[in-house]
Amino acid sequence: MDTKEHIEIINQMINKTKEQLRPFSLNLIFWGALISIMSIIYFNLLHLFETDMHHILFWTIIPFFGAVFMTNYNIKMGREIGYETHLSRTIKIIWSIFGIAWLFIILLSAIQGFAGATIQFLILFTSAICLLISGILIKFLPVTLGGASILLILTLSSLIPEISYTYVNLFSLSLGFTIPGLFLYFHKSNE
Amino acid sequence: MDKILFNIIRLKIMSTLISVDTCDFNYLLKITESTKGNLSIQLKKLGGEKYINVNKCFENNYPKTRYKITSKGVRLFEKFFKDIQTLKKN
Repeated sequence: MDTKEHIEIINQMINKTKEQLRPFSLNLIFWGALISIMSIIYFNLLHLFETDMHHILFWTIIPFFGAVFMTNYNIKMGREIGYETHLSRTIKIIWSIFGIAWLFIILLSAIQGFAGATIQFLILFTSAICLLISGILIKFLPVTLGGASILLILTLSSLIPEISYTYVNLFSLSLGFTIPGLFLYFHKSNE
Repeated sequence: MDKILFNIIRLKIMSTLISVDTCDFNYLLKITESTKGNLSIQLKKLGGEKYINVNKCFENNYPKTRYKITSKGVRLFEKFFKDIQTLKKN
């Protein structure tokens, strides 16, 4: 085997390993859809949430089970793909830290008695930062713009104090998660 | 020139591992188009020379082996690549 063949083999092997962004796109779609549906239910059945504990339980238990479901899905996909690239590992670490931050915010708000708006602001702000970093890392503009749009919505919502939390959630999750997730899912190089 | 990387299967393994963080045996089997026995021998050789790390674990009661390139492996692979490029130019 000559040197040319050696170089060809190296190139072939490196090119065979493709970045797998479909699982990440499905994560974005899942979370965008879940929190949007939860927001609509919450807004329409607000009378059922009589105590602070009802609100906390609603916004903790369902996302917790969502996290368990998606973690299982991600592990299963990781097994099926058979390899993990440096980029997908970085994305995994970023969103695992978001998960820890989410737990920390919930725990802190339960101890300190934060208002619903503060909890929502902290979670959305953290998710926007994670989206911005992820979008820049994977070089996919819709995800980066999704993160930026959540920051914009949070800024606008602070200027309009009477705005409903539900609308802030719906717009943030749709523009930040669901739409960029769908763009990423149908992106050509992701097939 | 590094004699370890002159073997086609070992070169395929190292070229794959340099572009991923970790991967499993089945993926290497598919990508190298080798046989199980040959692949196992070459992986053992690379592991023995500390070019790669071998991590054995259990997933759903099934043994699973994951492979990762070591810093020594990265350094020697890069040197090998530079050497063959120099040879090609000459």
